[in-house]
Amino acid sequence: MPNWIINFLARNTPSCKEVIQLISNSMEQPLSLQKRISLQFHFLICKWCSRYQKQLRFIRNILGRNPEKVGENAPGALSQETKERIKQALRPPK
Amino acid sequence: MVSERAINRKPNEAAPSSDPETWVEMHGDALYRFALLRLRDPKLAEDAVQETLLSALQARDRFLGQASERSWLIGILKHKVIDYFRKISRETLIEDAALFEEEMEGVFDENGHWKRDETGPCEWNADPEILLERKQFWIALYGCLSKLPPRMAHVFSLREIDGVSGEQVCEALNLSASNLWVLMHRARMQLRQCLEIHFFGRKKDKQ
Repeated sequence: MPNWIINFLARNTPSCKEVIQLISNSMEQPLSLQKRISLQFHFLICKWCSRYQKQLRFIRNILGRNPEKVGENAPGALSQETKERIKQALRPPK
Repeated sequence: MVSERAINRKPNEAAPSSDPETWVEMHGDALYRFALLRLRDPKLAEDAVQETLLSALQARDRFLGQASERSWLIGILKHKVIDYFRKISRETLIEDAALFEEEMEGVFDENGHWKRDETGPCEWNADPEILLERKQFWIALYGCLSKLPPRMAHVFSLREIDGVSGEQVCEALNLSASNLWVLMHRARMQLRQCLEIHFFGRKKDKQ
């Protein structure tokens, strides 16, 4: 891509800092056409922001499809003592 | 004592037993980890597990076994956690923002652009199918979620792990839509960066 186009796009699209906020917003609610277009132009000249978007979508997909995996591999367990205490609380009062 | 098989039962198999004391053995740890990730405090998480099981005991007749016992209990726990956050409401918002600013210092240049390859996202060689099976990935992910400031972690888990809609999160936690977007943006940014450093093998440039 010729330099003048890159410079033109760099001046006329939002900064990376703004772009990544827009990327996140687009995962909450559809963006206006104008914002979508400025994102696409920014991606043309910025591989880092394109990667950023790809990676955020990747995180969303992998979590959304496997919500139980996060907890399964987490450290942490109830101590035997706590388990007994909870069981005690669950017994009907005498 | 519950047999080894019963403890290792997959969560999606409906359990025939609904004796509350076996719930503690079969689901106690899973509930605890679920609560700990969101509440961050072992004591609070233990209390949430106990309250969940007590509520479950009272509502036992309403459990008809369409869902697995585990997801039924998790459903109750989810509500307990939201109730807790509703109670403490706004207090932690400001603290979260300060923690985030600190974490992200120096990522952008004075024009708000990545400092090229120095701070810009690097290529992840990530095949989702392979990652899924890698325990190491999930451990890193859990570690990174645990490092998010509490409020961000909570909002993020509700949206991206529990699949709660944005409107519901705002309603439950008394947030405006723009508050929510800022929190989600920060959580995503920090989590992405943490995964890149701790799992995808990027060197931490600053320091």
